[in-house]
Amino acid sequence: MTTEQAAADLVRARQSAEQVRARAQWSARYLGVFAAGFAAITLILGLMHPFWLRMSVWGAVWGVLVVGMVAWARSQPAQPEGSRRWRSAWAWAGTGVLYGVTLWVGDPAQLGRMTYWVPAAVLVALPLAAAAWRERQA
Amino acid sequence: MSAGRHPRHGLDELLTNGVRLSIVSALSGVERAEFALIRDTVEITDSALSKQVTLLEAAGYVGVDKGRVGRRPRTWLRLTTAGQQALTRHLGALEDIAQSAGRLAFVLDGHTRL
Repeated sequence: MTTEQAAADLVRARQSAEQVRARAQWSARYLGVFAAGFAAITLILGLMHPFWLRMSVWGAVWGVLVVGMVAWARSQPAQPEGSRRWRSAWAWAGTGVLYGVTLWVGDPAQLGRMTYWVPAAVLVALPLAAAAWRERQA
Repeated sequence: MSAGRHPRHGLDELLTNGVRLSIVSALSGVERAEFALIRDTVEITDSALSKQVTLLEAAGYVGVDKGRVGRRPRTWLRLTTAGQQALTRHLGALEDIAQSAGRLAFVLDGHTRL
């Protein structure tokens, strides 16, 4: 093998890897949509009433979000490396904990109060939004 | 000359084929990729890719998983640990060969200036 062939093979290998890796970078959008979804369900739980309407809309939005996003992720032509997926585990845990704390503190004491639920929704979405931003930069 | 001293001894025979190297490289940065995506990336036909994948699968470099997404059948390709190791070795050898040219050019350049 000549040096030119070796250099050409290296370039070809790098290009192929980059092309397919780029198709596996859909996780930024996935995380971003879940961040928005968590903010939405937080607002629904805090601001919507009566109770039956709140729970119906919360269940519908949550169901559509999870089923839709899992189906969308499965339909992607390339799946990111396992290690890459675990990089955003902290964001899922962070959003989950903040969501739980927000509900624990705000329900029922703050129900209907925009001044509590709007900042709380932003706070809940923050870890996943930050992870989405980080994935986009990667 | 003893075996293994020249960088070409580090080359993997199966990966000296450009198409197979591209397939394995394409799979190196993802957990798995669809057959169609690899076909389009490497720019070959379905049958040509099937043939190369069969060879790579027999060598233990690539795994093939069949499944469905909704009603659509899908074939997924993934790089095995053995495939990853072979690719790393092969790319290392290619880099050594490519760099040896640089060193040679440097030596020759220095020689002509003396």
